[in-house]
Amino acid sequence: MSAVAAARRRPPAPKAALAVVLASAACAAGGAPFAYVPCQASHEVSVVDLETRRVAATIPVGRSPAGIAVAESAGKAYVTNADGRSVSVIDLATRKRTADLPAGSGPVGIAASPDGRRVYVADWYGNALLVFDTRDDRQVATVPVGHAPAGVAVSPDGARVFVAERDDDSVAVVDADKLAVVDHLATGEHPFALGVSPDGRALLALNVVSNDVDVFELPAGRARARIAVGLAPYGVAFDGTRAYVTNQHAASVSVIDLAAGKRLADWPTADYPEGIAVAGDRLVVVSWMEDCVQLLALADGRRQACVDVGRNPRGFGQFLSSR
Amino acid sequence: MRRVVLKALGALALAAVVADAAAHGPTRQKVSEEIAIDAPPQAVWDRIKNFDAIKDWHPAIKSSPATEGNTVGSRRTLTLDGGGTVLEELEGWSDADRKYNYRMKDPGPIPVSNYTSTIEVKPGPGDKGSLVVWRGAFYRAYPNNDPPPDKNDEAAIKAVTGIYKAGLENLKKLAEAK
Repeated sequence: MSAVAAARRRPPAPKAALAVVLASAACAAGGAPFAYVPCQASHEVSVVDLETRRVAATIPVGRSPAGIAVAESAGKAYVTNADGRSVSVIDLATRKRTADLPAGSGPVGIAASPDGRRVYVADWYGNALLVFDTRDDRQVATVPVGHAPAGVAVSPDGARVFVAERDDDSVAVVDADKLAVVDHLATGEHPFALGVSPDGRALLALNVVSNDVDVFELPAGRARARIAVGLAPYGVAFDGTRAYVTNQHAASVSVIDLAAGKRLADWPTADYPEGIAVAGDRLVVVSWMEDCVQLLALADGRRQACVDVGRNPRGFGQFLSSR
Repeated sequence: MRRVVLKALGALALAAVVADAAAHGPTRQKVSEEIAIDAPPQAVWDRIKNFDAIKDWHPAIKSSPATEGNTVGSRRTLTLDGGGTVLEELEGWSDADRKYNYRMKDPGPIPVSNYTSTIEVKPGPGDKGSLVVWRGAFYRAYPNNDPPPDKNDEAAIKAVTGIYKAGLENLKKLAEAK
């Protein structure tokens, strides 16, 4: 920020110009300024401007939206409507719902491939992973998986899709080319949310009943650590070296050192924290009970603000967008 | 013989755990009720703080013995005025924060599943008043799509709202009695 201000004050010397370029690159990579948060009781997505800390738009979607995958390169966001048995498509440019796609009998978890070409949806009642092509928003495959599939995550190279099989205490590993399950990883009790570290080397499974996090080495899928966290871990986000896990029943975020496999600290949050993301130097935490989106300093967890949104906000998935 | 009985008990306990954590409906619901009471927070907390004391302030609960007092893991069995029992387990208890939280292990006749709750006494409004906040998060009783009317989201919300309102109103009456 100060580099930008300095550059504005005087003619851009080469060094200052470089600083501007670096600052804007950092902004594009980690400082996505909008959070698209599905609100399950008010059947809408609240778009929070993280700079002004205000709701910039409210987008009506299907019944009981829970999960979201922003696919920036496709220019769209996809929202699972748990009671609507559908996925709503949002055009990021107009912030309007453009379609509702039939999506099994209980769509919850959702993730987009890194290239934005596909969206993967877990069907909670159908015990399947539904695959959509984002070019025409058609469903192209149904991959049978285990019981009560919940969270979905994709490896950074797009080759593997991971699905939490909540009631089987395992994670299904799906080959994205073959569109078939090629492995199952055993977890603690009732894995719900999943996350892959940005370097693609670690898969985290959050076990909502046994209150711990399994860390698997990728691509092999070898179990590396099981880390105790707070009550009911529910959402995960990453920065370079750390993972941040919301503990729904403890009103806290556990900070995890990924290399050491160690829990470093617990930071207090608003009640029932769920979806979480890293945006620049802040953590964005969705508070289901308080109906707000909380901002915490990434450095020390200091609480900055809680922005009021719709009712029962979830933010289950990748909910940040640059527009 | 003893071994067989132990084994059977173990199987029962396991069955209870499995039932408690089984699949649930797609949409978690919440109820948050609060009431202002004209009495100091400590006095109000003293009335409700013991996990087994809910029978003393909730009009719909006849008895509520707990297995381990206010220790995390303690289980209380509520016998309801209208019939039926509910089993709840303490998950957190803080005298300093004047709050405790618990989970239903068996909801009995209450049409909910995966229910967790927190009750808390806060200071205010005014100099010596209290605000009691009772919050619950739960799913409906019916775990699949197309629930019958007595096991749908509305039925669950109505039941929990009724329990909270009745309890808080009676607590206010007791705490404000001269």
